[in-house]
Amino acid sequence: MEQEEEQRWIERARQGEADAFGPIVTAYQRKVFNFIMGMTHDPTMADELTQEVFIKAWTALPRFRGESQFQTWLFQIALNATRSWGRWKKIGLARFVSLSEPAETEETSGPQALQVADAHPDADPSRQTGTAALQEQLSRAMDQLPLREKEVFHLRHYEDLSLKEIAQLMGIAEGSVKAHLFHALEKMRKSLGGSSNDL
Amino acid sequence: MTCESWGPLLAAEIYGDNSAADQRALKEHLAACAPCRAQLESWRIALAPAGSRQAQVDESFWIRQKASIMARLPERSSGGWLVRGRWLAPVFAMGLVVMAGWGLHWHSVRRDLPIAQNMDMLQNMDMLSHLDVLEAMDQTEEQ
Repeated sequence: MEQEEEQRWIERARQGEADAFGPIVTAYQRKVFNFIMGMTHDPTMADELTQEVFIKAWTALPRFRGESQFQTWLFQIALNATRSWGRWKKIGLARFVSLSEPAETEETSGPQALQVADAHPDADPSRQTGTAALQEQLSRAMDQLPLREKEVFHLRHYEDLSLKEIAQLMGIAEGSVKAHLFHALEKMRKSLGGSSNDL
Repeated sequence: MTCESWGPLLAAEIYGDNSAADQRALKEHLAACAPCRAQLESWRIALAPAGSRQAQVDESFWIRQKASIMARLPERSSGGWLVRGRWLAPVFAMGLVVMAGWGLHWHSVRRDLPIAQNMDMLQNMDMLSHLDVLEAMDQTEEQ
């Protein structure tokens, strides 16, 4: 979606036009889902949280002043959702975490989640050869990182957000983002060192 | 600068995120520092297979997800803050504070009354306890 076109959809959605929110969902649902999936590794939860993120974005849209890019603002909501999920998971209540009250629908229940899990490359053993196996190792190494480093690495590496955008959405200095990225890369290199002959 | 302090710039270099000035400085450092060159290279090798991490999901999944989101969007009033009723919570909170303040004030006024009465009584009792002394003084003067 072109920047100007996106601005028009956002403005109309801000005014309360629900139909204008559709193209915004289409443009960003994959990115948001992939980010949450990368953080949670739970397809059902990723689907549910993605929906919650968009519903929260819709509700909060009148307060979006355009000081940051829409994508940054949306990822900020997604980041908060995954952090909230992480906190609830720690005390074993992750299944009940919700930003609003999600209704149990056909779309968010079992069969669909299985479909997503099956389609995810990490879950398909036949694909875990060669590059796929290395990707899996890298993915595991990333999952061992502390939360902030994992978030920074994922947002920069997989979602291609700029360091400035990451700093903005995480509410930290750009220098801190670079430092987190450095520690993340160094830990991952060390973690992969034992299993990769290239290093 | 130690090699450790070049770390954040090295990390940013992987993604081409350094400013022109930082890039120049790093380039000069790398020309003279083999360990940093090796570190940068090892990261590039480690990240090479990373590729993208897109979930391979059937297109129908996105259609269903979008439909679910659109169906769950709550009604949003197009009116101003007065219509949306956002003022209700602060006004309610302020009302509670005023009521609590008034209650405390009323309570303290009620407590003041018996204390004042008690003070008067105590002062009177104090004078009474000295009456016999005063009487004794009067008797001495008469003699």
